[in-house]
Amino acid sequence: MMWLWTLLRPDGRTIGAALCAIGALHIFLVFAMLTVTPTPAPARLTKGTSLHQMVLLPPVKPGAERLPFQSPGMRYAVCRFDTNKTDVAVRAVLPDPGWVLALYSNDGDNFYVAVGQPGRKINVALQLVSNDDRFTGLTPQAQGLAPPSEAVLKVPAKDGIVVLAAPDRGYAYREQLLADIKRSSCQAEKD
Amino acid sequence: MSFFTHQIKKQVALFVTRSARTLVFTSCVAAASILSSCYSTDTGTALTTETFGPWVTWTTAGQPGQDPYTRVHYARLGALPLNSDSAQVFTARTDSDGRRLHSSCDYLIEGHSLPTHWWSFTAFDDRGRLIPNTADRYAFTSDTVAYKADGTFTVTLSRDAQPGNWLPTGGAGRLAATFQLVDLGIRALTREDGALEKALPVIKRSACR
Repeated sequence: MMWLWTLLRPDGRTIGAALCAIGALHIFLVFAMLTVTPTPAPARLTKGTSLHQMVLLPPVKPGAERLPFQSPGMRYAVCRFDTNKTDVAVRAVLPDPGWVLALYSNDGDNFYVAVGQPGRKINVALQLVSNDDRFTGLTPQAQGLAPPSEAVLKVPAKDGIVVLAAPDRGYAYREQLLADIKRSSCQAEKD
Repeated sequence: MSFFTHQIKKQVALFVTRSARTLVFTSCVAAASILSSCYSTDTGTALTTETFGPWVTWTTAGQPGQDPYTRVHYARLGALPLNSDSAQVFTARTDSDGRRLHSSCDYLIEGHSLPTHWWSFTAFDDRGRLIPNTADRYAFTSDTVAYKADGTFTVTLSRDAQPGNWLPTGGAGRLAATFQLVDLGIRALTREDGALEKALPVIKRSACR
C-alpha cells in the first residue's frame, strides 16, 4: 500500500475529494441497483397461478422452495390480484396464532398484514380498490343498500399478491389446517 | 537540441505520472464505492440492520417505506419478508461466540417460550435452501417444539440423529439459521428494555468433527 500512498501523495484536498466522490458514487450505485434489480419474489411465489384465485401451494420441501429462506413450518396460499379493472374481495379466517394474511405490491412492499391471535378467531374481509381517482360507481349506501361487510382497503399498488401463511402443526392437524385455508378466498367483485 | 529533448522527456514523464495518479485515484474511488454499496446492501450497516448477538434483522424489511438498501437487499436475495412492524426475521450465520455456523459442528439452540409471539426456527444452507434429510425435518415452531418443564427449549443442529428437538444439517457446509417472530397483537417486544434480545435464542457450539 505504500507505493499507492507514494504515487498519490494525497493531501487534505485529495482525501476530501476522494471521500465526496466515493459518497456520490456509492449513492448512485445503490439507486442504480434499485432501478435495475427486479423484485422476483412475488412472481416466483405466484408462478402458475390464476388471477383472482386463492391457490394452496405445495408444502415447502428441499428443491421445491419457491423463495430462499422460505419457512417450511408454514403452508402458503397465494392469490394474484389486479384492481385496474375491478375491485377484489379477499376473505380469510385466521384461527390461531402464527396465521398471517399479507398483501404485497409487486415491488415487495407488504402494505397490509393481519395476524392470528390467541383465544380468538380473526375474520378478515377486505375489498381491495385501486387508490386512484377513477369513478367506481355509487356506494351501496348511496344506492340505499346495506353497506358492504368488507372493510374497504385502498391499495397503494394496482396489482400485487395476497399471501396466506398458516403454521403446519403436523399430521394430526393437517385436515383442519387445509379446511381453514380453503375457507379463504380472493375474487373479482365486478367488471 | 539536448535541452529541447530533455524538456519533452520531462513533459512526457509529468503527463504519465499525472495520468497514472488520476487512473489510480479513479480506480480507488470506484473500488471503494462498489465495495461499500455491495456491503451495505448484502450485509447491511448499523443504519439498516440491528444485531443482537449472532442475530441480524433488517429494520424496515417489507415496509412500504423501506430504505433503498433494504429494498435492494431483498430484491437481490429474492425473499419476500413480512412487514417488520408485525413480524421480524432474524438471521444468524455465526454462533453466539462469533464462529461461522458449519454442518461439521453440532449446535445447541437454547431459548424460552414467548407468550406474546409465535416463532419459527429453521436451518438453511448458506444460500437459504432447505437441507435435504431422510427425517423430513426442517423447522421447529412454537407449536411443534418440545418444551422443558420450565418453559425453555433446546434445538440441536447436528448431522447425526440426536434426542429431543433435532434438526439435521447433513453435509450442507456453511449454515444460516433464521428465527422468525410473528407479533400476536398483544405486546410488541421493545428494544429499549432489552426484551427483544432476551427473546432470541442463544446458539452454542457443542462439538466439531
